[in-house]
Amino acid sequence: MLKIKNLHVSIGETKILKGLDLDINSGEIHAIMGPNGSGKSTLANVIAGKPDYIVDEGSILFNDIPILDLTPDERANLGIFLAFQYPVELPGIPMKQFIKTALDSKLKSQNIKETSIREFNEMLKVESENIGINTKLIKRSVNEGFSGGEKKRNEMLQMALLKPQLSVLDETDSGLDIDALKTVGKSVNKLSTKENATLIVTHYQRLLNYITPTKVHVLIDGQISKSGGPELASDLENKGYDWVKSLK
Amino acid sequence: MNKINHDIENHFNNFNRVKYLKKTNTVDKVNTLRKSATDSFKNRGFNSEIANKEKWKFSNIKPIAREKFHILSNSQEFVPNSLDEKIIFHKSNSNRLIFVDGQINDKYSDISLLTEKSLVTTFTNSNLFDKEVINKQLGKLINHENDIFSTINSALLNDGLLINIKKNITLNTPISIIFINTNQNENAATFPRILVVCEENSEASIVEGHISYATQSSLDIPVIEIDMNKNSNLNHYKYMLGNNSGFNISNTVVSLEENSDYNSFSFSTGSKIARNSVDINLIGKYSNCNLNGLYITKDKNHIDNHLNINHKNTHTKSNIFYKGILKDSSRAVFSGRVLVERNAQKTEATQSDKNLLLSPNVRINTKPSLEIYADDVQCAHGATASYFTDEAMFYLQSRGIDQKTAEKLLIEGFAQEIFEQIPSKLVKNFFSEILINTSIQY
Ligand SMILES: Nc1ncnc2c1ncn2[C@@H]1O[C@H](COP(=O)(O)OP(=O)(O)O)[C@@H](O)[C@H]1O
Ligand SMILES: [Mg+2]
Repeated sequence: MLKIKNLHVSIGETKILKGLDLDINSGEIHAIMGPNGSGKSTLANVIAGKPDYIVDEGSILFNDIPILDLTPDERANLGIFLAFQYPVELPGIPMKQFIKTALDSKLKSQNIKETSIREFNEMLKVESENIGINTKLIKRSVNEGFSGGEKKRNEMLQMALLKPQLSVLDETDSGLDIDALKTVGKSVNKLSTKENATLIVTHYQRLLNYITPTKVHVLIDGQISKSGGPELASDLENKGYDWVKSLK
Repeated sequence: MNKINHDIENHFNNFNRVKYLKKTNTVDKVNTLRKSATDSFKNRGFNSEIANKEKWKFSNIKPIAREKFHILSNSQEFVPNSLDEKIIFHKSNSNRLIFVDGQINDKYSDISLLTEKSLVTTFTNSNLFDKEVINKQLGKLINHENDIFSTINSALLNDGLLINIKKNITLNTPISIIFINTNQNENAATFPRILVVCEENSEASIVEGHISYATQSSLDIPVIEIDMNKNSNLNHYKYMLGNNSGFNISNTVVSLEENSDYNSFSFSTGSKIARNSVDINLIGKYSNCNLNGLYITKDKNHIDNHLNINHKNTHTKSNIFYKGILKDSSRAVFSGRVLVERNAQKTEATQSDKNLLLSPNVRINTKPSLEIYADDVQCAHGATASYFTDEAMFYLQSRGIDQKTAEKLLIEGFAQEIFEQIPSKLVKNFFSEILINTSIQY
């Protein structure tokens, strides 16, 4: 589903990703772990199409379509979703309008009629309850004044409603309490079918107590320096990133 | 280019042919006001106004001074455009009076409710009692020596409107007064005039609309005088939907007696040059004013909000909160001047102006100023100008929303904060509707 080949990315003069390869097939859950500043968010953002980055070399194929020249909305409508490390506050834009516009954009791109307000409200109610989002938040502006945990839950709500084929979660676990972590785990597991895939980007291992990844990769200094099964995550937890660096 | 006009007869090329200016008006005050204003224009002309650099620091009125205009006195058959049909003349806006090119339009006006309570009348149709009010009040709050545009309005005054909210009356439905300039051919000019008297303990809402259909250069010079007596309360909603070749120079003057409350919301879009001058005099103690507004400019539009508040008594409060959305090569000027007189202790004054810049070619001059001569006061002011953050745009796009739609959401979101200040749900929806329908062009 996702094929990244020899990806080199920089911001301004700084090279961040230096020849990264990654293959994710449908039905798989991959975890990318790495110390702060190793380029995890860069990878997540480049997949979603954030304009600040310069791709110097390499390619990204999504279902065999080269996506590097596509705008973020085109990528989203192909089925890519990024749960932000720092979800953005949008004062004055009501939650409902935001989510419905997103949903309708996706349907429109597939030439499907948009959902009625009533259908939408019903879906929103069901998913908000699943994810444990207070209905009061739904009446507010997007993320405005939300706590850190509420923002992350809101990302999960959008993911649940948009049902992406590929979900990229950027540090969705950071700053969450156990309950919220469980919710995130539940949301990801619910979306994990044979057709879908998930890429979890994280500094810590704890989210992986609730989600069992197919593969774990260690990102150090802009390259994948080690890949393995779920056991790699616990090795990292015990031995630290210096252990991987020493293997180099 | 023409030279600057010193004679009002010269400034308006059909001045001597306009019938109503030769006829004696049935209201004495209209006649005396016309005469004194015409003399005042003769004495001062445009030059003294242009010379007032502080007042017109960022707005150039020479193009108006040099141009010749044509006084509109009668209109052809009026056909509203589709947007107006849908929004402005929507049935929810009842209680409305439509003036087309300076004349009341019976077909689209609906004032049965008002005439029954005798709250609104044109000067010409006023009864003896109303005439007495007009004679006493018209022009009372205006000083012709201070402003050439209100002088022009008074000199060329045809039929104005008196809104008199009687003692102890509470009016729930807003009164809508809409002025439309339809002229397509000439430098058409109109001079709308409203006199509002809010008697003691009265409560009302007025929606004042100015719409320009003109495709050629046009000039609208409205003046509204508002006299608020003890314990009265007025919500004044004003919108100005200009066009790229139109000039709109408006003056609002408000005087507030003890414990009265004036809340205004000014919404304006596009004009070649638009000036929204508001002068507030907080005369009685515990009087209070709230000035909110949203301006949206595009192309080479120029909008100048010029707000003056005089705190003349103790425990008076003023609050200014304006927002602007600027596109293309447009320019906005914001000047909020708050004067707190020596005896106006326990005064509170706040002001803020926030701008959203949609292009690197826009210009914004904001100049909040506070002059405080009392010592026990609380004042705060601030101004900001910012672009959309790339973060916000990326967040929306990452959810599948295309750039145009995302921009629209962000613009409407920015406007929403200021629309929240509108107490009437009806008016709030009405303004949102205008915004949504005009921002389609964004
Ligand atoms: N806007 C930026 N300008 C310059 N350098 C940046 C910018 N954003 C991130 N970086 C740098 O790029 C590197 C990778 O950042 P990031 O991808 O956020 O790492 P991670 O998510 O793994 O913590 C870091 O060294 C960071 O300082
Ligand atoms: Mg990061």
